[in-house]
Amino acid sequence: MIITDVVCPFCGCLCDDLVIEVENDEIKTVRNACKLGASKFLKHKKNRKKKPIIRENGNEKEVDFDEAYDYAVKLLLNSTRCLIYGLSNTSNEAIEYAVKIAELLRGYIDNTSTVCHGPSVVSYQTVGYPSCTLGDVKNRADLIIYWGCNPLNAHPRHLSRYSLYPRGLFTERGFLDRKLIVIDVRETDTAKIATKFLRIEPNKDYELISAMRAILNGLEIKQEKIAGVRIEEIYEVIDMMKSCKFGILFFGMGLTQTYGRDRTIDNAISLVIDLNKYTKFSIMMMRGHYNVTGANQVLAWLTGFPYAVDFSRGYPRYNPGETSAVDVLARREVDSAIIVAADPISNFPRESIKHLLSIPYINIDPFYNLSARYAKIYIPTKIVGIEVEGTAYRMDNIPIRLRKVIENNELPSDEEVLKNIYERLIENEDIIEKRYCVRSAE
Amino acid sequence: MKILLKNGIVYDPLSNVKGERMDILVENGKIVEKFSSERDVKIIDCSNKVIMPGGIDIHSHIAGGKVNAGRIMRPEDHMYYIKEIEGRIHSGTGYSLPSTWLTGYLYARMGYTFVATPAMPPLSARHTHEELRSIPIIDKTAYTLFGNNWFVFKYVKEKNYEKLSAFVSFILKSVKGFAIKIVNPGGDEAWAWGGNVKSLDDTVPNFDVTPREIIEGLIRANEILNLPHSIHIHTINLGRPGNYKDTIETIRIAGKFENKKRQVMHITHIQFHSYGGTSWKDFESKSEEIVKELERYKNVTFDIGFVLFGETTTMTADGPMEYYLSRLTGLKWQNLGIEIETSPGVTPIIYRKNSPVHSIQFAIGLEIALLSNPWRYCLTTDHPNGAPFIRYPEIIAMLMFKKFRDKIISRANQAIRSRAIIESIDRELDLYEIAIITRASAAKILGLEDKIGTIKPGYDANIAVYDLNPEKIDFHSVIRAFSRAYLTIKDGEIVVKEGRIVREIYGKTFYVEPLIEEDVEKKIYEDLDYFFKRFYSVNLANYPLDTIYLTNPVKIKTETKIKEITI
Amino acid sequence: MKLNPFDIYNLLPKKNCKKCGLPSCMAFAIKLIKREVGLEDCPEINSAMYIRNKMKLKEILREYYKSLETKLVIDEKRCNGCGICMISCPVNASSNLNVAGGKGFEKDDENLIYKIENGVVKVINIKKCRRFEEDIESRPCSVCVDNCPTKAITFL
Repeated sequence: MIITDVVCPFCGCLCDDLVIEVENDEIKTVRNACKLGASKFLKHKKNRKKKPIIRENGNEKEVDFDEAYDYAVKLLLNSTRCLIYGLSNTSNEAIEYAVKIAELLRGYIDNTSTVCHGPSVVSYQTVGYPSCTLGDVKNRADLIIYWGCNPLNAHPRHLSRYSLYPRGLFTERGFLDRKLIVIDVRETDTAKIATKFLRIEPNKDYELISAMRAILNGLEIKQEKIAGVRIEEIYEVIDMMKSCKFGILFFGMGLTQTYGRDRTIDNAISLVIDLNKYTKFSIMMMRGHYNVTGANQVLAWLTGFPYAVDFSRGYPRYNPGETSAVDVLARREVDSAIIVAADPISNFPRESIKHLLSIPYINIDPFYNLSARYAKIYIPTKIVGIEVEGTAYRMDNIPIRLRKVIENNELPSDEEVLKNIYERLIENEDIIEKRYCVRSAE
Repeated sequence: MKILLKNGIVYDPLSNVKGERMDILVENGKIVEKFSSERDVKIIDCSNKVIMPGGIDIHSHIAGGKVNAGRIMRPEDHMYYIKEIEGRIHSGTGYSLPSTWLTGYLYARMGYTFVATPAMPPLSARHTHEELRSIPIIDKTAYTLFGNNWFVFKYVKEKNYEKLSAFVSFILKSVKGFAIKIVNPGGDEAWAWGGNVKSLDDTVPNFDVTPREIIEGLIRANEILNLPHSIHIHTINLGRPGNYKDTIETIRIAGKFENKKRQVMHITHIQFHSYGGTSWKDFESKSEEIVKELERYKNVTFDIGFVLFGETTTMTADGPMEYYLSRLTGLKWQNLGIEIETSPGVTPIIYRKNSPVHSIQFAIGLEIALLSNPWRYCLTTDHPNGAPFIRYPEIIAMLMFKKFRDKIISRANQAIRSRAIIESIDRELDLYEIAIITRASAAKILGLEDKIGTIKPGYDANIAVYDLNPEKIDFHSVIRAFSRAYLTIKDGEIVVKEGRIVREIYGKTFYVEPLIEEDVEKKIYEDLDYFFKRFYSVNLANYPLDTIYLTNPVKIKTETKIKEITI
Repeated sequence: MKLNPFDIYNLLPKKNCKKCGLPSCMAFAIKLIKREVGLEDCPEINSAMYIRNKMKLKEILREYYKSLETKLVIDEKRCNGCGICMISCPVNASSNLNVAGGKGFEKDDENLIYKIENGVVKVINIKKCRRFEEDIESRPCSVCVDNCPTKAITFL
């Protein structure tokens, strides 16, 4: 059987033109996907479990799903403050239930953007975000800038599908009609095919952007080198920016997680806003996980805030740096956690991991990853986009419905697991209410 | 559940009830003439209380990509209004951009039961419906954007109205939209290159069509498909001094068309399109000219888009206007170009009392409302552009009491006296007229008067009861009553009691499904295939959405035989 | 695929027995690459002692001769499936709308050159490549090779 128009649940590109050949519920070939996407499909049976696992006193035991839900609910009811973290590799439907659980338990909810594009979101709240969709880039852009990102390794099809190579209505000749500027600290694969490559010194992005804005706004710069880039080169790049018809600046971790963080991105967005005086220019974050954008969106429409939401006062509150997952863990403020479709143990700072390992937490994930190995209870689920349908958002906020490719009747989906936990919590609503009232009376 | 609302004072313009004392009977979600049995009837005494049909908001940005982009961009807005979780009733935040749960609660609390969100880009329709799905209590629907679509440009240029209608029907069906919305026709396409269209006869760059042709073409398609609502248009040059001429030009386009059942054009937030002057310095009200023109063209309806003083967020699918505004205010700006279809923008704004422009904007809304026939227009603030919807009660009070109006005017910039005519208008609307502009006319304009907007037996029981004695009212009591409904009944369930949400249910979602001949529809397949493969960034198969995204979907079918119509 | 004569030489008997009529084994290796002699011309390698080397050599040479026909070599280990070759190839783009729009296609078609399968690039029909047109001098096309960021594609 051949399934067409399959959506790839790997990176923020969410390519929706995959063709997959399935035989007897086995994926045989994956067409059109890059190496990363294809491996997710082809190796989806690796590192999976069939039953939930409970860890007690150093012993592991496999249990039924019903038992697992009850155990999870008991665990949550016995704790006073819960953190829900992850959510970027699952569907919007599951995220909605996660928010409901966080709200009911007056806990924290945070998604993985807290450790990747969180600073971008913060700066977007400061200066705005003049953006567009990838289709706009494909049809119009004649100048493409990648700053602090290496799409050829992280989003391999980004260039061929959306930015440099496709032939749009106003870019009939594809890459011949466009220019590519790459700004990075090392010569990446993407830089190798760039029209212009600026190698900047690490952590000096802010300096370079400021210089660019100064030049753009008519000031003269007397230094010879800024951030390791010769001044003539900066002038040349500014000329290219000003003279293009439709420009786009893609930025990644190289900009968000260096010195200055959100301030650097403030500056980059301001540069783009300034450029709109001369021509049409847009900016876009290169989102990593396939539904990290969706996690931001769902949280925003249900609570008003994109990430790091705290329900402890009974209403949503947002203060990244105080209410974000890394910080509440480092401050040892939570005594239970639900990790949904993420692996914080392998990428959080040490202080936070230390606390996470000391509290009982529930891990809900299709794969038996590092975080699952230390969870009090691990509940395996279906893979969204391969074994179950769901909605996800592309990096440009375009919603796409992920398809089901093969059957899996053994496991529940993330959504079902969270729904079950939520419904069982609702049955114990009076306990939660009572505790909440007592706490507020104190 | 059976409910008897006893002895209330009913205002129901669609069944011509003007403040009569009546009993209203509700059974199984419907309004009935007689209960099936007299057992288990919940009797609620409504003497000295006003009963109206559930309110209808015809134009309010409550869900969708740009609303949520606004939510993400403005965390500060969410600190102005917070709601705690109470049992099963969810929490929420947001004043001009309330979160979805809160949106439903706040509308229900004002006695509103139907809200239409305008401006749904087809490509991100799934997002709009996902948000609508999580808005509780109210019924909802979404208008679909067409004014800057490349297909529309292509067919309008070819003057191929058959294909244009087929395309409109295809999109409405696949994205579960309700009506044709046009925003700044051609302007967003020009904005994709940093420009804009300046007049109705400017050509759209690279496409060789004019805004006038786009509007005319889409009215034609709308009439061919015989949709319940007319085209819903936000015309060009929104918010610019001297734009009233463009508005008059737009109104005149309607003169070419005729429809016996309903209007052929609905001009939305007309307040933003009624400005005179040549610059911000001699900015003035041109409401009289606009009203005069509207009197001549009876087949045009409109909603107001009131401006109230205070902070809010502006968001429209009019990208160039948002950029222009953000450069004027210097505040943060967001652009969300949607390939091939539209280009919305978001920026915050603070309407200040001491600003001459804002004061005049405030006056224009009231002027147009007071000078026009209530059956022609609806009360809106173009939420959240003019003001958040939770401020509707203030507007109602201003329309009802000159005294209250004058109090606000006296605090506003004095330009309001010289460059607007609000002071000279003495008219005060009564409760019946308020019921028209918040209920009846909206139902009629939407073409849904057979489903919503009245309390006749057989209709869904969507009822608002306000604690207001019409004999003894002043603006304080009006604002208090309309802000917190005494009761809101949605589909026969009491959802609001004395201003508190007591129950969470989910309302209906309306969408149209225009049926046309299959072979006519097939004619556009080739173009669809070409455009989707070449220009869209998603595949055609992943474009349409399912009804799983809709809560209690209500399909409104229209049937057309395109071949029999001479176009 | 570039083949070094030393790689061949190392697998040959290295006896310089001259039974093949050439002065040394190295010379034989060079002639093998040029396809002027065949492996069967070496009498020594057919002995049981070199059976392993012979198998290896056969394998290498088969791959190598095949690439001589197409003049194209793909290193699957380097390829990350970005699809730039597939999209940028002018032949692909002119014969398929999906490719012109930057997308992958559903079915193989003999007018297409590249496809991406299981995350790596595969050749469908190299004969359509512009380098195989008769007037090769006027249209030397190397878009796929020039744009390949990982250098996974090479022409001989």
